[in-house]
Amino acid sequence: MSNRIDKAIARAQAEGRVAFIGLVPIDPDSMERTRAVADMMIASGVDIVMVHIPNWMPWMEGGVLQLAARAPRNAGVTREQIFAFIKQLRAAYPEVPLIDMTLYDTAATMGQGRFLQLSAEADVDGFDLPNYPLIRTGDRFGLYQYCLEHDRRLILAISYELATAPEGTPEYEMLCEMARRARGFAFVMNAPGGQSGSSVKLTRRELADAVSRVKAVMAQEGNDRCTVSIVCGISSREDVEKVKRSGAASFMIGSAYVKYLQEGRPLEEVSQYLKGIRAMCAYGEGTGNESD
Amino acid sequence: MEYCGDLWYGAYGGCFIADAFTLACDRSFAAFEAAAADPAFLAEYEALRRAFPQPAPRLESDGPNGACLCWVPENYGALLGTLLLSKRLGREAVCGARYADEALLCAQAGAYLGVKLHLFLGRGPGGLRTLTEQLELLGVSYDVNMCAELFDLPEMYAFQAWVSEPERRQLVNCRSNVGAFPQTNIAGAFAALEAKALVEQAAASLGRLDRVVIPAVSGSYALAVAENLPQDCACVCVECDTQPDLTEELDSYCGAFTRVMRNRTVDRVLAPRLMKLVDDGRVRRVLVEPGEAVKAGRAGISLQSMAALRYCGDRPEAGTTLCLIRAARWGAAT
Repeated sequence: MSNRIDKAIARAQAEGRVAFIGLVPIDPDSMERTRAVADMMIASGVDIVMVHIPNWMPWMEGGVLQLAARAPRNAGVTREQIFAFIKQLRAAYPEVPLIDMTLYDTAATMGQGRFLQLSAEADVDGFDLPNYPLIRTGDRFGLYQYCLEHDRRLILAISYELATAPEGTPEYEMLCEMARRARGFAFVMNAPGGQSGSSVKLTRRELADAVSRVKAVMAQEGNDRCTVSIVCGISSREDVEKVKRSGAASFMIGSAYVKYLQEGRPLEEVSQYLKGIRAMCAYGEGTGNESD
Repeated sequence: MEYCGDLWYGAYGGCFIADAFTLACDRSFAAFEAAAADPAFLAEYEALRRAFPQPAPRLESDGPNGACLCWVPENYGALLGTLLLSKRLGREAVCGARYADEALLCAQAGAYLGVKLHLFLGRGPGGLRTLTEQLELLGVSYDVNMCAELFDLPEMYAFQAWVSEPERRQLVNCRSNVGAFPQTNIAGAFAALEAKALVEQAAASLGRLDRVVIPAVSGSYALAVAENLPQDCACVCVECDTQPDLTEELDSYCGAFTRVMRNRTVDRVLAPRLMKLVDDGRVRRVLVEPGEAVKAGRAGISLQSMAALRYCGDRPEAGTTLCLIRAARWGAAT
């Protein structure tokens, strides 16, 4: 096991907890402040760091991350500046898993070769490009194959409808293929449409059903190189409790505290929030709130 | 009804959305194909067009350098067609409206069809109280905050709403530049149907057409016309932007990869299938500076139409040139 994402999730599991994936937003005015946010997140216990490379038309994002995309664009932040930041982050944290989080549009706009080159120079461990049409196009652009050959992880996203699709349906066929191909972790979306920061969330039962089904299909497809992570609409202790009970190995939070940063709250206050979430990650910790 | 079922238009178009949603896209296209093959649906579409008639194209022969001018109405084919699909499928309609006229027509036609409608209004139409009052009278729900507070991309918010519940909602497209397969295909098919009559009428009056000059913003109108022109007729798409410092990039707008003219605050997204025609040499794109366009000196027409006139004045050509001109529209950002 050499990929840092795999190692981080395995380490969290060995420690009896779910792994915590956090998102670094790009500060429109200062890459130094962006770096300070990343430092704060890692110090607060985030296991896997996703760096938000804003897409200029962020149609898969909710309101908070749309603002997080708009502000750097209006300020004239370039993608090269963002990759330079990721490179610095890698130098400072050689063992922390780093993931490029953007739409595939960014790679296509820059040129996929350039995007991958800059990512390789920053030694990122994976890519969260939720609109890369891997199955639909049969990896037409070769991104999945690149990841296999270079020990990177292309994070796949599975909706509730796919996760719970009846056998014999096209959705089930797609689920099987995704379950077969997924590496590192696959996201199960906690919200319809996959929008970040969604207030519409799966119930505890729905999420648990989705996760257990995806894990079962992964096993059926002979894929023991992937875990399940939860994304969209995770913000509270109750949400983390739901994640743990679902059987997922990790979860991602972004919008919840990016909003605090946009509101100008002090880093220490945001850190306290993240530490509170991290404290909930241990399987023994819970709210006792069974209602859903 | 003719339509294109291609996932890609050369380097453009496509389905840059999560695999999880592509099956809903396929079902959407299958539903459209079934409608397109159903004479009852097509008859209902014609009835809807008659219920909301547009002015007939008007030809004038006094264009610059002998060009024939053709005053054309807006092409609402995509709007009416996709709205009628909403009714056929028993789904709520969701639409992003960039202009006041299309928002009002969508609301009126939705009420006429008995289709429940939610509109996302761009910053321009969203600020028109006379419009929003009428939307309220028509019982249409609308959102002005998304475009006001975030990106002024009403189609993007409509697409988001559709993709979150594709079996419950139908996306109403006003143009052919937005959305993963099959959105641009469906919008383009209805728009081309509208443009067919225009091209036939012009050809009947003028005989052979050697060049057609078309004002363009998204290029949806130009695409609809270009697809109906004979291969030996040159097609020129004239663009004109008031925003400074726009540069051209490739990007995906709600899953359709295409060319975008943008600066730090504005995106002008071009119809991906039109870009294919440009790459193929079938359509020529021309950019005219706004300062030059206004020298055309016609009142009441769009800036891009002035640019088209200016282009015809600067670039005379042998044979018959048809220059389309459209009225100015209000309530839109670039």
